[in-house]
Amino acid sequence: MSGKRARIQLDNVNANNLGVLRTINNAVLPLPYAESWYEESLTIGELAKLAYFDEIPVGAARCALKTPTSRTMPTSIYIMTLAVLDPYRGFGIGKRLLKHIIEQAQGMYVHEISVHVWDKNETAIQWYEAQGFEKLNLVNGYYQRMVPVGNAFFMKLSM
Amino acid sequence: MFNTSIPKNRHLSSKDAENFRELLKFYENKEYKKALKIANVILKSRPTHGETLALKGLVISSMDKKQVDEGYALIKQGMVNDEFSYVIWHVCSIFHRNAKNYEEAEKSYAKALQLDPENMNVVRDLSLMQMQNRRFDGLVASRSKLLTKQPGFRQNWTALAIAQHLRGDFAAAENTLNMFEEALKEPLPKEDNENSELMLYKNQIIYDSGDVQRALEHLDFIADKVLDTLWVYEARAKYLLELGKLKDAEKVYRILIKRNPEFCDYYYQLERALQIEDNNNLKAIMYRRLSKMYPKSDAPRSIALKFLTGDAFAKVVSEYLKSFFVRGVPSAFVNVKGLFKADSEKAAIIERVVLEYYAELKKESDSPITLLWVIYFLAQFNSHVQKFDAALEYINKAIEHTPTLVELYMTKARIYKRAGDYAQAAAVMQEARALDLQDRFVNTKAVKYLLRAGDIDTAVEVVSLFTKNDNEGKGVADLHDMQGLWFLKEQADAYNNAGNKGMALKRFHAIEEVFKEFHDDQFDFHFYCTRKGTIRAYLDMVHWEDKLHGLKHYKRAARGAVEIYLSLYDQEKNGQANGGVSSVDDGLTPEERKKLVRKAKKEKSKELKKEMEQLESKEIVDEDPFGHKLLAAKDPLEQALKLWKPVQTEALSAADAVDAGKLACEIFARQGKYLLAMQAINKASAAGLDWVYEEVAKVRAFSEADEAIAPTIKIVLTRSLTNLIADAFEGTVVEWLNRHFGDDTFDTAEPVFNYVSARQVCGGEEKARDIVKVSFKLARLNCTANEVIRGLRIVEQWGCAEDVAEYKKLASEKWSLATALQV
Repeated sequence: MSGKRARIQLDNVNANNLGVLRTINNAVLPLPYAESWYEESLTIGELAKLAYFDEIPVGAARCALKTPTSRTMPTSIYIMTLAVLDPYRGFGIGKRLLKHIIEQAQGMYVHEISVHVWDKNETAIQWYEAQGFEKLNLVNGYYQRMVPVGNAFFMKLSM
Repeated sequence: MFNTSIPKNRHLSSKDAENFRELLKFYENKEYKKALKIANVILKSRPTHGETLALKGLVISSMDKKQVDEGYALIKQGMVNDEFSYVIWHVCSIFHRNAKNYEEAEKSYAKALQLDPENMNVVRDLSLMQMQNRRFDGLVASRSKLLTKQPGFRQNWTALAIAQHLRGDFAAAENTLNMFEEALKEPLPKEDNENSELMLYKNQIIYDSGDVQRALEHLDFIADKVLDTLWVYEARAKYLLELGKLKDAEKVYRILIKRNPEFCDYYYQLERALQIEDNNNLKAIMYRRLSKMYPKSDAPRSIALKFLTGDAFAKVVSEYLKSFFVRGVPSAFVNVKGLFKADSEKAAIIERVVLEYYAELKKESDSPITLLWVIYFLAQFNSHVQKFDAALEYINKAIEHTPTLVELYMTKARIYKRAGDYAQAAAVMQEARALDLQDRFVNTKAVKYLLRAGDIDTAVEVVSLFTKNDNEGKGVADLHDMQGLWFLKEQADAYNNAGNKGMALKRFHAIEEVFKEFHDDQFDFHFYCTRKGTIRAYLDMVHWEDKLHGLKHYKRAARGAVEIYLSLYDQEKNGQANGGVSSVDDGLTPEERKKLVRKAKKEKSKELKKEMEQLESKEIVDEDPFGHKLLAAKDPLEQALKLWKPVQTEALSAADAVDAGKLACEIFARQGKYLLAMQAINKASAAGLDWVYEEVAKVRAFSEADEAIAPTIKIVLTRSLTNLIADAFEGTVVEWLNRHFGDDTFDTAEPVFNYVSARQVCGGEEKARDIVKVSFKLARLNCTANEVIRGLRIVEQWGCAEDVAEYKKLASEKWSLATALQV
């Protein structure tokens, strides 16, 4: 409701609402994720988040921390999935989720957020660019399970 | 209490007397083991000492429920040995009271009091029993006695006034409260809640006495001395209205609406005060104004929708619904669905308005939420008017739009349920549950849907996610403890549908048991509330308790159990008539019957095996874990009557009581109590109820088959029936029945079932044909999936294979989703 409460709210992912994360991903993303991936989402705290619009869950983000083998501390946050249901795009829900990820990065002194985006998904590429991401190399055959096999751009936000 | 003349057999040596006092002390402190030990010491020297025997009985029955009978035997023995001891009678009353047998307890207390008239503890306890048993004459006497002894306690005055009030002696009740007020040296402070309650209560007594004018005057007098301002406003408004002081009443109702603009009754009373109840134009103006005055309030808008018609209705309902859609309120449909029932034109208008809005939104909309709720509404609407395909199309569209919204799946499940596909309904409800596992509401719904689909095992598993579970992880016992009536009822129905009548009976009786607990629960309040002074709430509870068995949940359970008992009786009777073989009158060929018997045997042995496994796997505390004892009841009709009688005596309204006569009639007709059955029928006839013809036919059929009927009864019955329906004896019962159930009678499902039920009792050669023929009407009638499937079961029982195929074919035109009807 558009009262005093903000229309967009974030909430944690937990065992009870894990089905929501799964439903959003299945509806938006081209490939399904394994059950183990969802279970892992319960262990990464603030890096998995649901977004509510007028109290209906419509968006979700799930990230991982990247720690190079030479380092002991993570150097970047990698966005594994960031999805908003189609009818709810353009309301700033993805932005709100990204803002949350950026805050997490700042909190742990990580200066980089990265993501792979399907090269055919121009809207997504444009959206990430609009958020300050830089389009880097094209990874051929990134989506192995896609038919035909799909390629992805590696994109990066440096802070 | 030490009398000067203690009889010899009661007298104890000083040492034993000392021990006896110890015994009492131990009992009171609930140190039962020590008490038992010391009782045995006394009994060693005085084995026949009555009071000790009785106390020992009380002690051992308090220690262990299994020893209740043994304990009672000891008390009785004590009584034989020493019949004039008030102690023993007192012990006996406590025993009954502990067993919640308040009738017997009251008798014992009365007896104890006879032997020891000045014992105020006994008087007080007796008064509690009298209250529990609603013996108001005795209650007034007991409480007068208590007040005379102890006038210094406010609670004694209150308690007496309550007794007098309940007995209907308003003047005496008021007088008691007056005397209390006079006895006060100075008025009590306003903050004294008990005093405030007492004044309000007195006002209620004056009103109940019928003197509204004086009640109003008294109310004005106490208004600024009491704390419950709302009650004062409501009472004043009501009194003014009843006294015809409409202008003043109007003012107070407007104040009340201002205080709480969501309470519909204030608006209805305001209509009465303005004398515009029957003038829709003026009402429209009033509600329009009030809607403007209270823009956030639902009541003035939704009430107006009830009486507005045509274009005016379309305009208001359109705005009303749009505001819901825009705000994203899920309950839009629920708020207007009440309007459909009364008026199909309104349904059409609502559909049109919402479809127009939907078209508008589809063209351009900046709010996905609004669009979503509109589609959701259309799905619910189509489900409600039984257009299941359209409903599914809308709901699937909504789910595609927002697949994360639990409500959508719940509605989809409901559509499948209404359409008769119970398995799919349960599966979708499980999907809904998976979206939010911690939502108990969805969990409960999923359990209910699983039970409707007959999947009892999964249902128990799912419900056990939220209960305190036993060693096997099942929560069924906890749902008994927590009085989960919905679960007990749904599980009973599921067992019943699966043909497991024993378990069904067991669950229905478990519901009866819960209501017994409800009834027992009031006991503590008889004392507590008079002490705390919360009189008005207490009296509300007392009146609620008086109508306990008229409540929906009890009625449903009792009906379920009674129907099983009736079928048990009929089976038994038919079995006897046919020399112990199964009923011949089932319209089956011998081969078919053999097949059925084989199938039944196979299923039974399967069931038995399962039961044996369950029996071995756990320790049995339940004496009748599968309801077999209930099934074997010697007197099923008496059992049925015991369950059903309170539904009649505690009915919430006169109309309810008359309608409850139907099942009573079924029982009486089978018991040969035809005149009692006629009484129920006569009342129903006066109320114009549909089931009269069914029951008349049954009474005639049962009485004609009854060889033992007394000639005088027969004469009276014949006269009574002819008085009611002039042609009651023209032709055979069957001819009469068929004459009264013409084709035009069967416009809803109810008369079809009434006919079938009566026709089954009446016999005659064409029985199976008649039943099948009439049941076929259900395939085309406007009814529910449940009813059309019930029709199928009847055709399966009485018709041949072609009949069944034909019924399915006819019915599945409308009920294409109903699994049972698929060929």
